[in-house]
Amino acid sequence: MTITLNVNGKNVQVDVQPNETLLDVLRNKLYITGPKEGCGNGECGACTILYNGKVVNSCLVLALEADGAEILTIEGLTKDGRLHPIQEAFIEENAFQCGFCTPGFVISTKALLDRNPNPSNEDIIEALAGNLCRCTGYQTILKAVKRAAEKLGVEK
Amino acid sequence: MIPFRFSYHKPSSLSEAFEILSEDGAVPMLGGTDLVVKMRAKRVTPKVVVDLKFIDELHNVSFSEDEGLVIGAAVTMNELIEDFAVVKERFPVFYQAIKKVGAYQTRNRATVAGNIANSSPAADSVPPLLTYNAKVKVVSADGERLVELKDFFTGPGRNVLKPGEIIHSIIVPYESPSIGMYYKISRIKAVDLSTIGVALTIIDPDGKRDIRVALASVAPTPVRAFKAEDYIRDKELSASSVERFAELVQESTSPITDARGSKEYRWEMAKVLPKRILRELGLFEGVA
Ligand SMILES: Cc1cc2nc3c(=O)[nH]c(=O)nc-3n(C[C@H](O)[C@H](O)[C@H](O)COP(=O)(O)OP(=O)(O)OC[C@H]3O[C@@H](n4cnc5c(N)ncnc54)[C@H](O)[C@@H]3O)c2cc1C
Ligand code: FES
Ligand code: FES
Repeated sequence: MTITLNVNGKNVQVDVQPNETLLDVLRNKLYITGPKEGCGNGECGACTILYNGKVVNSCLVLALEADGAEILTIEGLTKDGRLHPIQEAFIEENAFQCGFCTPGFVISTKALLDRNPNPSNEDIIEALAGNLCRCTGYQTILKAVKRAAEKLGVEK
Repeated sequence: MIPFRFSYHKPSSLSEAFEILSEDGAVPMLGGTDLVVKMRAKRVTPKVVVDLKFIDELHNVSFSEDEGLVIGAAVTMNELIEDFAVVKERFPVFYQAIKKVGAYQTRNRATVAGNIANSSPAADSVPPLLTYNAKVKVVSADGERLVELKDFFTGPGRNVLKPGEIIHSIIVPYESPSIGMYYKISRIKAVDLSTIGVALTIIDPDGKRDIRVALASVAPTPVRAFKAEDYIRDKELSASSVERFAELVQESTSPITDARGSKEYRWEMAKVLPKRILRELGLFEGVA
């Protein structure tokens, strides 16, 4: 079956099978490889995307459900070759090592700052609890989120 | 990729859903946070998946003091607690429990109806709903019926739904203001099922003070501790009455050992946590 998706601002049509997840389609058919498959079970957050404006685990969304959906992945954050302030903040705070978890963390951060531009530590921990990092530790990630909030505050 | 073939449907009306659900091997789906995980592991292998989230009437939420809170089956947990302040204001223990389900991403997909239909003994939304005397509205091609949540579960993963029946909405009657706490112990702080979950709700704390308790992960189904509630009803909260109350809560459980905890630990915590909650609420000064 063919579905239409709006991925990072572009409309695309793609042929999908009922047993494919949205993550499978993004990665294997559209070559959008920012979202990663860590666990495939909703537990690690590596596959986190914005789905119709809401942050979800794309490994648990069936591709056919997504027909007509608007999707934002980390690829869509970069505008005209310029990094998004959240991405800059992650770099400046050294908030990753291998980077496998980073696209998910950045998207969760974007969703958090969209709904709460000035989050407390608790707010950040609650919003990012579904994203696991196996190498960096969470302190630099917390700092990166705060720095991103400052940057975005200044931009406005 | 899910390792077997099935067909997927998104009906836009209940009648259309009932028709597809009558097919051999058909199962309903809402957020898929249980179903998709189980399908990936081939723990369930439906031939037909019927996604109910495109049915408008399942997205309704309403509240009035007479009718209580009515939660359409397809409302996600985050929509419920972020868009309807009444949940936090009138049903605070239910609100606390929802915040403890999975991760923020999970709650953007997971529904209360799915949590109930999945019928895990660990379902976090269930203990508080039991203390608020919730009811489940069940519909099928043949009509509808109301089931008390306390009568809904028949065992781990089992419930009273018959083939072709689906949860339409959850009805939480409003009695009076309440306070309380959902205390969840899990191996890690977030994104883990409970080792034990205790909902203690005090209905009308400044008036008749009705203390209600229900627990997750300590019996084949979530359980409500009616005997303990009856015992404490008109008693002062003293060291000895609270101790007896906590023992009666414990006696309502029949825990087992699994990957998340031992039967002995659960049994002990079933007695400790009701006391600890009363203490944290400032209603009791003993040790817990
Ligand atoms: C990472 C992760 C963490 C989790 N953490 C928790 C947790 O902390 N606490 C907790 O309680 N749960 C947890 N869960 C389990 C799950 O998220 C919840 O049980 C959730 O509420 C299920 O809702 P759903 O809408 O996703 O249900 P689905 O997966 O869509 O459905 C669940 C079951 O109900 C059936 N069903 C669906 N809709 C209906 C209907 N209308 N009528 C009848 N049957 C129906 C389905 O066939 C399926 O068997 C977690 C899951 C994940 C993936
Ligand atoms: S791959 Fe989706 S949450 Fe781990
Ligand atoms: S940087 Fe390696 S998992 Fe987070």
